[in-house]
Amino acid sequence: MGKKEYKDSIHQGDNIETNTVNDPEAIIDAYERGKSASKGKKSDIKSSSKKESKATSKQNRSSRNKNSPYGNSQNVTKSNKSPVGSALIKVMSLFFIGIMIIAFTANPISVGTSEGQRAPDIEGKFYNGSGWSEFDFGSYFNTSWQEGDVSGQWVVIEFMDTDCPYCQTSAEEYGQFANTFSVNNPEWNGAHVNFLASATELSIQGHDSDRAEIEKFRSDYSHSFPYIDDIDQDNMEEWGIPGTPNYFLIQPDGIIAWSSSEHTDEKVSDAIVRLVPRESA
Amino acid sequence: MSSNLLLAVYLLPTLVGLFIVSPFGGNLKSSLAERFPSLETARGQLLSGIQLISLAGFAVSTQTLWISSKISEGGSFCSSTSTFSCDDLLGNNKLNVDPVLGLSWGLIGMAVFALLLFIVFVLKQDHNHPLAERMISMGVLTTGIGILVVGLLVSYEIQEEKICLYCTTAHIANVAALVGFFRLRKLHEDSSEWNK
Repeated sequence: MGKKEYKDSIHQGDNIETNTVNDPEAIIDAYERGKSASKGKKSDIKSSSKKESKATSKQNRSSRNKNSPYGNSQNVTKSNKSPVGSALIKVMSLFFIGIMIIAFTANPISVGTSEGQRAPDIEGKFYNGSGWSEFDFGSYFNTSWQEGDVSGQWVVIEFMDTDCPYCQTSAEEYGQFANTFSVNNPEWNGAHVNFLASATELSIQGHDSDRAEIEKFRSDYSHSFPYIDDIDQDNMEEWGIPGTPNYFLIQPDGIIAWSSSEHTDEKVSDAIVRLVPRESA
Repeated sequence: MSSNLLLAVYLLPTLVGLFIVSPFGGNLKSSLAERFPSLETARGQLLSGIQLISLAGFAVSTQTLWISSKISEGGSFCSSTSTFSCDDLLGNNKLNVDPVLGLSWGLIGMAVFALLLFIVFVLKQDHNHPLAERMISMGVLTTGIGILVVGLLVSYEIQEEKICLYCTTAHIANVAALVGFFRLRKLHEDSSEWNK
């Protein structure tokens, strides 16, 4: 032939004879040789002549054709299909479908202390005037409550320290709110609001609390609502309370409707009037 | 659909898969091989069994993630005062996530079973893939670590004195997949059997 024989993968097309350039078999043969060359099998190509290679290639192709209902080109395509890529597509599709089903059919609500989140649990013993017993925060909520339903009971919780001067200042007013937003008050035509206080001991010099002090504080301000013992600051940490007093208004379904740290210019009583549904509303 | 029926949809394929990958699965050869040619060889049998287990495990993990999402909305699914209750476990915000990253156990289950399915799909297409041995080892390792996770979750169930049947189905799927991958590794060591 007297023509230069290229050994690299890029120039394999140049090895095709001019008169066979339209021959699909010759093109596939060149492709296969290029593939072999790129895999570092140069020595194999060097040792075999062009004719031998073509003959072997033809033989292989004809035997494959006998076994397969598809043509040559389809066989080449099939062998190039990566099992890893194909499996990855299948699995990713499956995972995506699973996540999409959840995304379209569920609207998960995270637990946290921001408005719209589900209120974290409050644990510990509580004092209701007669003694200390285990507190069950979940018993205040009804998860099937529908917005606007006046029969549902709302919850206001104050995080306080009996030695905190701001808590002492607001204690009287907080007690009044508890009496105002109660079903026992004929002037209040809205849903009943349960008031709670979680008493902690801030890590400040001179702040030494105990259960007796909590009982005395409750009695001094004539409060009738439960006081929860959080002297170990467990609930404060769980709720991420930066300081006292800190108030939260919680819907009957346990979702935080208002928090004093997100509305520093609004009193808890104003928030109750604004958010809690009333009969006449 | 009743929760028992739904549970059966996940549990039955898992148990069938466990039977296929178990040493007794060879009995299926004669009866099912004609209908399912992939069951003719030991390799095909194990891969098909693991595929069935992984699919069921993936589906039940998706279901547990969905249940915990719905419970967070305020829904109730299988809550009861009896021992069998998934609401008390899947709805518990402290127990339904992993203690390190805070990811939902359901989501972790989905990812694990998707990985197992990926391995099965690759080996089904090319059983002599250069990474075949590594992938089988990965399957053994993943399901082996899964046993530790199952232990942790069972300890939660004991602590809460409740049993979540959906979670238990996913745990069974993990154990079954471990059996499957363990036997697959044994088979891979014998190249004549593997290449049948």
